[in-house]
Amino acid sequence: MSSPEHQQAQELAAEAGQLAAAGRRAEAIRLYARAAESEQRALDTLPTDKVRTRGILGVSLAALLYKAGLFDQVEGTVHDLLARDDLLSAAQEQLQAILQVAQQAKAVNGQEMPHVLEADKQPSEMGTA
Amino acid sequence: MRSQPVTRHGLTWQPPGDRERAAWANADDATRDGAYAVALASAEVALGLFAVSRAETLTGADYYLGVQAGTDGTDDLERAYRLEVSGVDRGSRAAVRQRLSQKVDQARQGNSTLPAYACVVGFQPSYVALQKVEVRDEQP
Repeated sequence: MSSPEHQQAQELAAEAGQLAAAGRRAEAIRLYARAAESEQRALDTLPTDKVRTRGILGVSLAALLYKAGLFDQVEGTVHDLLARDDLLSAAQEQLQAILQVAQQAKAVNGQEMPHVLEADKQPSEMGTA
Repeated sequence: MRSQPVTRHGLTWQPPGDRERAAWANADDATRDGAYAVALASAEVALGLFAVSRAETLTGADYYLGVQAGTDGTDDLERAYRLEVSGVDRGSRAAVRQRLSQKVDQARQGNSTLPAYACVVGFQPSYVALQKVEVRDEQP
């Protein structure tokens, strides 16, 4: 079973996604931040031998921090995770990609601030053929 | 693409009323979320795999699939598969298969080494295409 903390993060993120879709961005961002806190707890309590799960949760945490507009925390989290030697290469590459997106968003916004939650949109390919 | 076995399954649903139609008036969102629902049902029926976690945007997947929680005593994320879903609201079966081919190529070229399934749901032809994506071995 995935941990209760991870499940809570999922529920909060889903709720945040609905709020974002309804245009209630400030509330969505607060929930994304809470979801990130839960995901961090899930990561903190994960046994060290769960390397694949660590990668999944770590990438999820970075994505949630990004959606919460906490770009500095994205940077810190990604660097902390990459400093470990037990992360799979796939997770490392995904973390690098999220870090790059967060750095770009921070550069555009100037400061760490809530960004437009377009990240909740799925690729345009979901539309017509 | 190699010819794959085709199985037939029934799907029933409540016809949407005016409120539902109004709530889902965005075609892209409706296609996406409808595709998620059908893809997850298909994975359950065809593979015996269930959604064990939603994947966040930017993670390169839509869901993680695993065995039903608690059935084998293992950590479901540790042995999970990525699920990448795509929805096609118009077009033929050929369009669905073409999209699947693109998704599989995309998944292979992606930066994840986690094992994956790609699923494309075609609403007009009532056709779902599901394929396992082989990935390279992974090491920390």
